[in-house]
Amino acid sequence: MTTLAILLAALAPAAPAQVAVKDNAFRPRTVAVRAGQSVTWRWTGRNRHDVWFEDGPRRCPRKRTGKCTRRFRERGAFEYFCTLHGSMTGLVRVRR
Amino acid sequence: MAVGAVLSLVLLLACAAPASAAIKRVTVRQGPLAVDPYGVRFTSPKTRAVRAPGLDGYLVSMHTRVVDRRGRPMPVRRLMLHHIVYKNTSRSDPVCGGKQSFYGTGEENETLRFPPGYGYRVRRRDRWITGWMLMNHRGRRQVAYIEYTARIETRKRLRPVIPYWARVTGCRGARDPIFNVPGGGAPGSTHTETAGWTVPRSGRIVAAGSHVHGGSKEILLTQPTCEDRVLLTSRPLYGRAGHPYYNVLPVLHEPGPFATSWITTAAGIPVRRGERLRVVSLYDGERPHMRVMGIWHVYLAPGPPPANACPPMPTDVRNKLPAKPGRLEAPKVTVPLTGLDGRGRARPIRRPPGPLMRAGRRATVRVGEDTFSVRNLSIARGGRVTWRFRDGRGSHDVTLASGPFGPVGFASRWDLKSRRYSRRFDIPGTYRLYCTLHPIDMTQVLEVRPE
Repeated sequence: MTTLAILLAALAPAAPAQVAVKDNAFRPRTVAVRAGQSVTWRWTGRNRHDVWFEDGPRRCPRKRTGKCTRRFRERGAFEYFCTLHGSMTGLVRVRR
Repeated sequence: MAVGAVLSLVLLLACAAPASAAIKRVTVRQGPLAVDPYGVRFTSPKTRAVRAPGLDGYLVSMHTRVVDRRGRPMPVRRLMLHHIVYKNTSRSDPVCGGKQSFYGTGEENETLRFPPGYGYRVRRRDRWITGWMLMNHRGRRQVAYIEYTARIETRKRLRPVIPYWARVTGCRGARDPIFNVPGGGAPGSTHTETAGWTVPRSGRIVAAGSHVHGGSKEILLTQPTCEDRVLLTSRPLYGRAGHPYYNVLPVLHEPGPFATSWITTAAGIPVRRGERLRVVSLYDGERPHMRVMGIWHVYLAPGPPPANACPPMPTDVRNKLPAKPGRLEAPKVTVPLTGLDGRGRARPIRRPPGPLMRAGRRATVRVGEDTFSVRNLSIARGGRVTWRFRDGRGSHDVTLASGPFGPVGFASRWDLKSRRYSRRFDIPGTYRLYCTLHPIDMTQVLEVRPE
């Protein structure tokens, strides 16, 4: 899965990776992008959620609908959380 | 296996009985029942029905287990049957109302059985319903079936027994008959919870079992009018450190005993209608134990009242625990808060991610949408926190997780009618809280500042 995601990212470097913000899960949980690429989170559920990085880009505020895009400049693995729902965690892998 | 032993015992009895006896074995599955990752699932009106045996006769034994699609027992590390109660809709409970409960079990893996010659009357047209709770300890959805095996005497007439559930919480909250042990007592101290139980009918108690949770020392049924003598005692047996109950990760609740002693007496313990007995549930008082229960399952053979007030106890009382290695004392188990890492793996957490809300002497937390609106909260000592349950979409509770032990144990009900739960915090410290029905999604840390 991850390899495929990396491959797809490599093939289409301009398109941001997509993550659905559902009740109560981020899908897919793990996305891989290249440094300098973006990830877009799209709210699809009914509950309020946010995207909170302990260490990484600026957080996406709590909301029910809409989307939020963040750019990843440095390589690494960035864990993120919804601060409202403990089962909502995710990972952005950024490679060179 | 103790279960195997019990079943073979029944077979032996069947063989030893007169030729007219005919014991039929009925196995019925309920499901499929899917439980979300790390989720807790309760019975709903849609899932409570279970096919009754459809036989006329007397139930002489019953046992329940959780199996997979192919009928193989489901290991507790995947899915745990926290509890189940079977009710007969054609009979009612004269004490607390509702339908008559006749068999209950849970982690204690109780097998219902009566002394020879006694049985629970079942009829072809009986309808059964269940109340249960399943816990999924895995990060993947689990699908399982709840399966009972009943043995029914279909030819011979037996002496009928009537089941009564005598709860230490009385009739209040019969849907969720819990109480909380605050802890903080000296090592070895005991927390005692008692309630009166009025015998609904004269006769003799011929069998009894108990449902208790982790931390229980024992449960008694006493007779205050006879110098408070003990009529029944049921002791829990806890697994050793290697037992699956203590090796299921993540730890989402304090594990209960894997057995509680089961009492039988063919002669029976005579009791009189209207007499007031006492249910006494004893728990460890040193550590907090949340949402615990103390319930007697009493099986009474109706008959004339005893000739005098305090008749002698029968001499054939058997009080049995399975012959398996275990601990008679409740082990010290901590229940940490559990969170997931970025890859979705469960791990203990010190606090939920996110910002800290610092409040003065009052704070309100909204409970709904599968969350606590504030997950990191700090209040001043003596302050009051109110949880407002505004969710029409599900049931929630606020419960202290016990790891590390303290500062003081408490839990709200999950079927709060007032839609709010409020509590004053006089003891400073860190309170790790969670919803036992949503143990991963709904965690919260409350810091009570010593100022």
